[in-house]
Amino acid sequence: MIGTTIGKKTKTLRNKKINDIIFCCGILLYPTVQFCIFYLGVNFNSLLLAFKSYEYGTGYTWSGFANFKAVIFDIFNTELLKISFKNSLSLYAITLLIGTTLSLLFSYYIYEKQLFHGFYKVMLFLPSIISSLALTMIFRFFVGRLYPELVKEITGKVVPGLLTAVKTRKSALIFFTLWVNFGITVLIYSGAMSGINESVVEYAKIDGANSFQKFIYIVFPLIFPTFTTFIVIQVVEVFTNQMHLFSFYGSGANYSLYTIGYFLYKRTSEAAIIEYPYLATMGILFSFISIPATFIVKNLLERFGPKDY
Amino acid sequence: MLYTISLIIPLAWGMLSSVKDSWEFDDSSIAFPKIILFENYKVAIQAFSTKVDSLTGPKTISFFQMITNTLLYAFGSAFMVTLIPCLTSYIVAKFKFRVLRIYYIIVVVTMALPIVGNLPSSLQIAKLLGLYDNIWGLWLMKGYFIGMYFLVFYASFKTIPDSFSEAAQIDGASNFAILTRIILPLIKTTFSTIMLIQFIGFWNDYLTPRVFMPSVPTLAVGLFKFSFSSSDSYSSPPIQLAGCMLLLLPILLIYIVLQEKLIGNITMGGIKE
Repeated sequence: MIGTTIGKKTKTLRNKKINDIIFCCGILLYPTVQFCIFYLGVNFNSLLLAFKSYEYGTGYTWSGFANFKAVIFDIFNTELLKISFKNSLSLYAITLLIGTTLSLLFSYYIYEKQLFHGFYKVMLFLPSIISSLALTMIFRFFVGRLYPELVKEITGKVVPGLLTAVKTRKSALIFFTLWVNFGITVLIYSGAMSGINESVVEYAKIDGANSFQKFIYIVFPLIFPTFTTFIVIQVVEVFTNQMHLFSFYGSGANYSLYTIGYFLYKRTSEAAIIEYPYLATMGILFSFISIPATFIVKNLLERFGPKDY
Repeated sequence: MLYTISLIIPLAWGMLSSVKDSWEFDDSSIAFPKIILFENYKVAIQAFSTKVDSLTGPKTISFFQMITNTLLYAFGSAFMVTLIPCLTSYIVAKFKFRVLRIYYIIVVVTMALPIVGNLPSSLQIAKLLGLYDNIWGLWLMKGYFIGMYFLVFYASFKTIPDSFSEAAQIDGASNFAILTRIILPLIKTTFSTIMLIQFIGFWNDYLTPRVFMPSVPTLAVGLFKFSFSSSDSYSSPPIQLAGCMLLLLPILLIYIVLQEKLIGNITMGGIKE
């Protein structure tokens, strides 16, 4: 009798396990296939393309490292790519130094629940939900038409639009990039800060810590994982950030403004099939730079950053 | 305060300028409009119309067709990009098979690995599989489980006690019934918020549809083409700003109505290791 009961239980458990396996396989079938094709397959295909060349009539043929040689030569010898590289790196440096610092300070302000913090939250989120294309159009006309008119009204001077003048267009684009991303960064930092245990901050207050000391010794160490994530994401974006050039200029941006992200997107969207191997090779080479850079930055921050005791 | 002012002023100026007469705008872009011209929006709607080359030959896509394309693209992609990580993370969080840990590791590793410039390869594969230049092709391509929202759903499922599904199993419920009648209703708020955020992102996206479905333009693609129009009547700033507002205002309305839901999701606890 007991043996029959145990036998039934074992059979029930076995059936349950089989049902669970069938259910899991059913649910995971599509995501697994999708991942294999559109992540593994795409990246593997990218790698294969890098070793091929395309001729009309013969199709793809193996070309060894010819594409790599061509891309490396172009990176060091083509003015356009050198400028793109320089612009990508300087955009990263400015975003890191100015954007990150201001975001941290402003989010601390919201966290400390200063005046109108609720209203600021609503406004800060706005740029991330409005189309960047719509924002670029408004910004384009604002700095291109309103700004020169305002300057003329106030000073009597005739000045070109900020995006037209050679001296100011890059700064205007960098400002726009920082301006658009500022809000969501602040919101995420202030979200991380709101997760800090109130009692920790209260103890610091009782000990006589001022706002600055609270930020340096309590708040920043506790949100350091969030900070690290943002810094790492910025490293990842060095070669993908277009600085909204496509929204502002379409395919017609001046060469002096190019970033690597803009160069790659523009060339790919206009490319004939013959250019795919070259562009795939360029993507792989930049991935070989950004992957270790990401891990190095992450490890450095973890090693030298504040410890969460 | 300065940042908020810097947001409000250009948006307000854009809205006011969108109803200005072109001559009035050329005269002074600072002054308030003397006459309110909603006619600009009519012209902008016409300006959105774009000619595309399709398999059946060249055709003109109107503003209203673009709205349909946008709604299909945004809704379908948002649904796929929310549902697939939701279901995958449910399996990984709730079923005790060791092999499922691979999915979690894949998500974390792919988030840390920056892959640059695989657009040519994606295009090639999309064309090879017949997914190029149609909306459902993009839906399938958007059905990936990797990304931040896998971790968000995973964390949500981990907070649901196993006793809920165990009790249902004792009553004879199947795995599918447990998922659809017990688990999904419990996370419907998270699901709908994430889907809403994704919907907004896809509504505004023009880079992907422009490359992957050139003959099925969305509103954002239409606005992009319109913004570089060389036609005299369409390149006037008030008309172009009216076009901006046509893309921007629906999302602004959604934001005004649902702002707490949207902001609440993005500020949930920040990011922890």
